[in-house]
Amino acid sequence: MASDLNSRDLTQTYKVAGDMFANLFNEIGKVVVGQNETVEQIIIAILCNGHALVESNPGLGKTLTISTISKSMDLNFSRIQCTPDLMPADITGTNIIEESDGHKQFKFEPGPIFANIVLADEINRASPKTQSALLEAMQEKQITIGNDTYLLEQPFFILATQNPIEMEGTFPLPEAQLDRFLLKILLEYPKYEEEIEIVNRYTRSVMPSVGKVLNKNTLIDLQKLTRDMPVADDIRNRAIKIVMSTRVKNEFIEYGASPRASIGLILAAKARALIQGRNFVSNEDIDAMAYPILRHRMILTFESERKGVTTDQVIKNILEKIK
Amino acid sequence: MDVRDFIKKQESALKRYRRVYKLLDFITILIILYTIMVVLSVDQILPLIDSLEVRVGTSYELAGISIPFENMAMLLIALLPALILTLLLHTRGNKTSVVLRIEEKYPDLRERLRTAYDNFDDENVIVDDLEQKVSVRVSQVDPFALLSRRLLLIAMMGLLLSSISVTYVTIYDVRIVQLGTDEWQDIIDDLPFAPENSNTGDLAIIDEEGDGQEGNGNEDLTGEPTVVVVDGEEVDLSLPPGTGTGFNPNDEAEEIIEDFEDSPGGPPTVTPSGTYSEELPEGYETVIRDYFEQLAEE
Repeated sequence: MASDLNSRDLTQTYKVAGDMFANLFNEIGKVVVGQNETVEQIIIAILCNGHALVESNPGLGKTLTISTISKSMDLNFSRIQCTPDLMPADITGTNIIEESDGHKQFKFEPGPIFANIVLADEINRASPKTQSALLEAMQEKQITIGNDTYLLEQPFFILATQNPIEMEGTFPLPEAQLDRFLLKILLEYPKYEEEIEIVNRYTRSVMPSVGKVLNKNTLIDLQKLTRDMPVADDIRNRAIKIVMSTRVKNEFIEYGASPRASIGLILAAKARALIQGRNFVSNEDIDAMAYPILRHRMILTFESERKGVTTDQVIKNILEKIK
Repeated sequence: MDVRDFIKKQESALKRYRRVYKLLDFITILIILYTIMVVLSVDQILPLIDSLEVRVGTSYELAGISIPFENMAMLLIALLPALILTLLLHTRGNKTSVVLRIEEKYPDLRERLRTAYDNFDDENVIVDDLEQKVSVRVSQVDPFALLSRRLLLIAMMGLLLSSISVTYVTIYDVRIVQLGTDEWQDIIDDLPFAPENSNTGDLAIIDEEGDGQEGNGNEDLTGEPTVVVVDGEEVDLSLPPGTGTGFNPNDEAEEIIEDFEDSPGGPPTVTPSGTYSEELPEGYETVIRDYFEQLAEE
């Protein structure tokens, strides 16, 4: 009976998924100018129940984008500004002594990690100890403090940002932690027309606002639907070949992506297909998602750095070879 | 019709079409090879092959038509290369799956059909939706979708042209290379890998003098007489005539009977052979007997 209700809900959600996504992008577009690809990739990460790392220069609206998404989805949002003196307890929360009726007892005070969407701003400024505090939360969706383990509320999504130009006093994320981010999204400067629109919108007395389009349950349904998206065998095999070809050492590649990348690539392609209103995964989805999935999972050689070859160029080359 | 049934039907249809293409191509290639053989006078080689020599010139009756042995042999020789060429021609085509071929023909089914087919056993909202939509679409697909009319036309044209060519070549006896059996023999002898006397097998060519050797038999086989000087005296080491012939397995020289004389021929007598038959044609017995008696007296 329960499964019938569940499937009925899913059927209903599936029927209106296209309209929901259209409304969602429309609402976000009221606040965020341009950045359609970035917004789509962040929503893909949320649908995949994964996390995203956004790399961009300061002032491009990372915080605005993520807070807008969280508002449009009716989700709890918290922000952590990472600094070198930020402690793990500042993120996870800590036990405090509380006195009531003359008795003193420990009470757990949840940190900002206890939200549906967490923005870890400038994550590479936090110390490795603090960065690793995010590991368990990202992978296990739970937090352990002392002997107690606290489950995080679903859906749970971390969007971390890092600044590519100010590297002094930063702690680059270790490969193990980078691998836990489903996507690495690069945010580019807006185009001329987009910048005019940004200036127009944010120099008025009335600031744009966003309406709620999705609730938590609908989002969880959409996450289930994402996993139900069918993939053809040859498309799946191609995705795996793409990931495996990053492990073939050559002039440009030192280390390749892990099997987690294969899982991530298929899952992200499924989410993209759902967003685009298709009921099947296309090769086009694989090609589009290969860049954000693989770019932080590959380590290039010194030779490639010397020649100025980027990970995106290497990925493009791989995609062209594996058609 | 569900997706799996549709694919199965199309697969069996494609197999049938492929068989037809293969057969047409095979016949065309066979005819082309046969025509080439006729034009190059390959039939003149057949008498050079010992096992076929006796059959050359004979013919076989097939459905009331008399077919010369040479034509039959050339067709048989062309069979194997024709088969190999046909298989090579169709190897690539066989690898393309039915699903991909249909998707190629119907772009709106691209990636949808294969996804529906591969996930046929799964059950969820999206797969069900996909299956349903693809099923509706494939029901509108032409049952002869995979029959390539262009390919069929090319195959038919090829067959027609090759048939016309072979008919023309056969009727007008068109031969680019006018080579007879002897010319072919010379060509074969000139080949670097040709075995010696390959044309004769175990038969020796006996010339008019009957010595079984080429030339006139006057060749100086021993060369100049060999002379050595022993104690200032010259000694002729050349072998006397007859030396080296007539040895038996025990290395003993055969006795040469120099005073052998041929015995005179005996008087002719009539000796009936074992196969002689007294059943002579009726009415001609006397004539035949007289003829043979006169022949014996002479």
